[in-house]
Amino acid sequence: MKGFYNYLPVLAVCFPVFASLVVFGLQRYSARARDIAVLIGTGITFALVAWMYPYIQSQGTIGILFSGILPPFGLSFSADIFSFFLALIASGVWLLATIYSREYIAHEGRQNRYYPFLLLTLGGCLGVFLTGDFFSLFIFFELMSFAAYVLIVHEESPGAMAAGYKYLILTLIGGLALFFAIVIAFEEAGNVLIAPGNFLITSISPLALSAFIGFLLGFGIKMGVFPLHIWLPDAHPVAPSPASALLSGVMLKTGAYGLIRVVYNVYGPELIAQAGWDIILMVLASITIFLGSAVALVQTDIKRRLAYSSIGQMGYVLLGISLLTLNGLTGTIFHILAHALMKSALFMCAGAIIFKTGKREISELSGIGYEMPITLSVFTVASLSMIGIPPFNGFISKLVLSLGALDAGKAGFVVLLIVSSLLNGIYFLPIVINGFLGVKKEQRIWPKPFAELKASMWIPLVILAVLCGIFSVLPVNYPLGWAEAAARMLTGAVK
Amino acid sequence: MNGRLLASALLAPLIGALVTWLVPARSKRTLAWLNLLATLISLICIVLAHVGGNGQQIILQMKNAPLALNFQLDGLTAFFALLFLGAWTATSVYSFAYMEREAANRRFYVFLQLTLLGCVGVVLASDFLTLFVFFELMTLCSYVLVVHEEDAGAMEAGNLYLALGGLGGLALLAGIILFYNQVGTADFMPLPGNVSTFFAVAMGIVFFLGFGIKAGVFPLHIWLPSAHPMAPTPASALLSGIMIKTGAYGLFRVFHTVLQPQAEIFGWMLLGLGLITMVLGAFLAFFQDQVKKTLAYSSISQIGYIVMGLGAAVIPSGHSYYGIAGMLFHILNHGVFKTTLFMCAGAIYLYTRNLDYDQLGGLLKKYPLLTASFVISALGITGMPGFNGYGSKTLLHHALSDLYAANPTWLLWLAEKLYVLASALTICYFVKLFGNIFLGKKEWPGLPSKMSFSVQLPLGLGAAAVIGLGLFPGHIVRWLLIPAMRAIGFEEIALEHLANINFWNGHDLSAMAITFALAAVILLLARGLKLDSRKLPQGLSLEAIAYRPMARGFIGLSQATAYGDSLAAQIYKGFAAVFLGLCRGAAALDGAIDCMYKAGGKGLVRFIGAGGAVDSKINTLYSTFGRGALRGISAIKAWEGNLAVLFKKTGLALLGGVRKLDGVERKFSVLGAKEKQGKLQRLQKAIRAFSGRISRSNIELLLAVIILAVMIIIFILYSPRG
Repeated sequence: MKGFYNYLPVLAVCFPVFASLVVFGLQRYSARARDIAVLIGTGITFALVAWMYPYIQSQGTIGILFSGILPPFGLSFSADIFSFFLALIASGVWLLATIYSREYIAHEGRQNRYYPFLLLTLGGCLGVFLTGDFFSLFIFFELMSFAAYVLIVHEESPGAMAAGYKYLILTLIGGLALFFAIVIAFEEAGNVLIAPGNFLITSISPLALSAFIGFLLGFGIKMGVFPLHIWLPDAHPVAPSPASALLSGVMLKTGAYGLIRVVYNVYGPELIAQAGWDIILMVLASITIFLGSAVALVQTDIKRRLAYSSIGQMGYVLLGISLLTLNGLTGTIFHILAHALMKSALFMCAGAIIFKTGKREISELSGIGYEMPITLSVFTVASLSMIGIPPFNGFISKLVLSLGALDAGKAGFVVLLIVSSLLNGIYFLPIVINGFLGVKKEQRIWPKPFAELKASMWIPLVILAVLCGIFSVLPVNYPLGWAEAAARMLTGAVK
Repeated sequence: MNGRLLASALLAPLIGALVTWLVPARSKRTLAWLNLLATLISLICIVLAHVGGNGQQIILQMKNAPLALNFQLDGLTAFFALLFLGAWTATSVYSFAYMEREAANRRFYVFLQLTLLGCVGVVLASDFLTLFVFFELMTLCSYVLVVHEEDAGAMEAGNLYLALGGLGGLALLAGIILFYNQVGTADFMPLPGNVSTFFAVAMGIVFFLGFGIKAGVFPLHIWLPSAHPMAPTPASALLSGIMIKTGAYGLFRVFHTVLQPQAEIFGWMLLGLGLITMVLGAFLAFFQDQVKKTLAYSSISQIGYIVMGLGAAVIPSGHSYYGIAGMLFHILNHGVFKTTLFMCAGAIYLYTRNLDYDQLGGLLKKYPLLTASFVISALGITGMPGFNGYGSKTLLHHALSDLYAANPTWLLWLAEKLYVLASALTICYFVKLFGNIFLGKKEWPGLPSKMSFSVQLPLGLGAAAVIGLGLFPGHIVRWLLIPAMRAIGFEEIALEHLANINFWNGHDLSAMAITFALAAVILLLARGLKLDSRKLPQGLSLEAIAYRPMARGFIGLSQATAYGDSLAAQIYKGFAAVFLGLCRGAAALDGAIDCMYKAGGKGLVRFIGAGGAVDSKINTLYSTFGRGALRGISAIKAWEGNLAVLFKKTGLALLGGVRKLDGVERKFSVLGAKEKQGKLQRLQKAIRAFSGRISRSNIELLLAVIILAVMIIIFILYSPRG
């Protein structure tokens, strides 16, 4: 346990929490200093996470256990390739959203409350990924959930308050269910460490099933799995757009992360398959995929449509978990990245349009591409990626997931994925088409041309779009390699 | 070196698109030049690579990528790529004049280049995944060409195109995934024998959906007649003449190479659908009343020939080389004459601004070159000996009659007759088309007498190619088709036989003569029954019967799901209501308890009242004491006042001394003291302001530092040792 690098996960988690206090203090003096401090704080967090990479490559797992804190269990931090991958996504997207926030939140107001909570949520989110046991995970899970509440109700409109209330109640239920499940796991195994080969529950019993349901409730609510998704389409659209981007792009993934850990570290895929609980996951995944995509189609509010689309996409992730094959898991982990990139891009584009025009109804957005070409181009790229059209990264994850489904001998899921892609096409392409085409100059809704976004807002968007293109068919697609390494580590498959 | 040439052939359109997009020049001519340049570079690179490599296979692979893009250039892919690029070059020249009148040229050229990249990439790809990447690029980019006009009709046609194109792409992807899963690679190779029939048939069906939609095979053709005529003419020429061939190419790869074990089923399916497509397309073309629409239906009919040839080649019992050679030859021929015909239509539209039959007429005298080009291409498509369609139609006819000779069933007998019927119908609708456009006595006083050079050149080239290909079919077979077929592994004996075909024999010529005679009969009958001016009822179209209800059902399903979702929300609300009811019950209980507490409380108050009486007595006692104490304090105060007076006096004396000292000091002070004092004051103010801020004591900052310190201490203290 010697070596400085073992402290990197601790630093990565604690730094944003500490930075949020600094930002909270700094805002008295100058708004500028506050904004810069937020940026630097998020940037350093990202750097700390990235710094772990060489050590993880050489050591496999790095981390440390503080046995004196939180006495009987100890507070432990650890990072393996899977945690690292997710933490890197989270901190990277967070950095881009923070850059984007500066202009956006200046327009919304109440930055003094927004920024500290943004950093606090990042700390919680990284804590979920970088802890080494379930009790520590639970602490950060709750920190993230409650800090995110403040981001959701940012506007303080009646709608936002109602959505926030719904979120809060379901988060509470989820947290309690999770706690219950962790306690059972502790009772069974005597520890709750997350380590390869350390299966906490090794036999099928009613207690094991109730723990499984508890985990499913706890992480499923966060992930937005049917029928626990009902908070999501209310909460995501009311939050300010950069926060929606993070809620949809990153925070949903903490639920997915937890479920993957539950399936592969608590029970082990053999036990799950033996008990037949993967069928539960598959059924839920199928319903979630179809429901998310189909309901998105009939939404008229752009952010609501994106939120439902997120539900459908989390269904893909759940499907990959439930398949219990190497390709399925690789596809899931890569889809976590792909969805983080595309959905944050989409939410930020929608936010940019709302920021400039104040319109949220899709029917009112025809011709917007003439005024905001960069924004709508990014939206187009992200939509195409969402549908799964090459050469964007959504295509890769869909391909690998389909291969995983076929490996598991379930060809029906390929059809499901394809139907869902078709639905994605039907609800995304009209936005793009009406934005760019079919509106003559004299028919445009925007009589006066207005300027495209400022650079600080469009640069993060363009970066996200470029990453969607780069991490796909090109040889620089390292994340797919990491996803595969993570899947190999989790399944214990030898290369 | 050749690999690099191949790479540059693919990069040229991509870079061309980028440059066209970013170049600041606004002149339409500059953009058109850029487009032509990029296309030409690509063409030259392919020619150099193919000729430089002596027609050997060239492989280009992207290494170390999760989804590697792999390309190959051999006889077959070069045949397709050269046809595509040649037609693209001709239309690029043509668009100089045509696009002069259109808006949004930059967008048009950018997407024209990207569509070219897609088309060329599809045929140069050496595995299915690469093919799919370019296939989707082509579909999406050509959508922009279809909706170029952006009017309601174009948007509607575009929506249909996009819906079916997207569906086709997804079906194709499903097929590729199935293939990859079964074979373990995406290369074009036959399915191993151990794949179950179920998987093979499923794969065949989804592949057929994917490529058949693009090719426009019945019953997947419905998007074609609405989308192709909508695009600006250079684009419709390429969509109709070239792009649908990518579908045919894909069908060829799938059914000829991959699905060999299932050849029996799919061969008959392709043959049947090809024949239906042929006859139906020709039949519908006859009833159109707009030039481009007629040509679009004619494309459907001609794709039927191509698919029919493929089907005949795939069926195991026939001689497959006739079918494949006929198919390839017809792909080449159709590319040439359909592009030329569309450009003729475009030229008519360019000058008359009209394409409806009843508005046109009498153009024969006005534009002789246009008329000549049109007539030559039309003779090509009808299969007149001496023009290019003759060669391919003869080969296809051979394929069909050979098949009949091998298994003489009545179905194949009927197929042969249908083939003749479709060819005759082709002649009929072209006669009708020619009569409506060029004959008649309509005067065109306002028209310019000479067409623009950039229109004349491709029209002339097209007509020359039709005649050239038609006069030397044997050479075409030897030079182009045989290398292509060698690349896909045909045996030398078969190729030898093919090379020695004599196209000019009495049997084949008389077959054509029969076809023309039949056409004459049909025309006379149609004229007699006044069929040629009738229109078909709208409600009978496949779109109205099958596709729209399907789409409506799909949307309905989504709406039902949304309703289901809202029901789920309702259930949650129901639970919440029950929960709330329970809470209310608990609240009632709570209220009862509250009452009890209140009763108890009142008793307590009374008890306290009793206590209060005692308390007031104690109070009086205290106040007596207090008064005494007060008196004592006032005495002390008086004494203190005296002391204060004493101090004041001493202080005044001291102050006087200090004032005197101050006066002395002032006398000694030098000039500039005032300035010094100013600076001092500013410094003092700053310090005061700073200390003021500090004194407002920023607790949060302090807290942060403390917490950090505590955290560090904790980590140091508790970190495991050893």
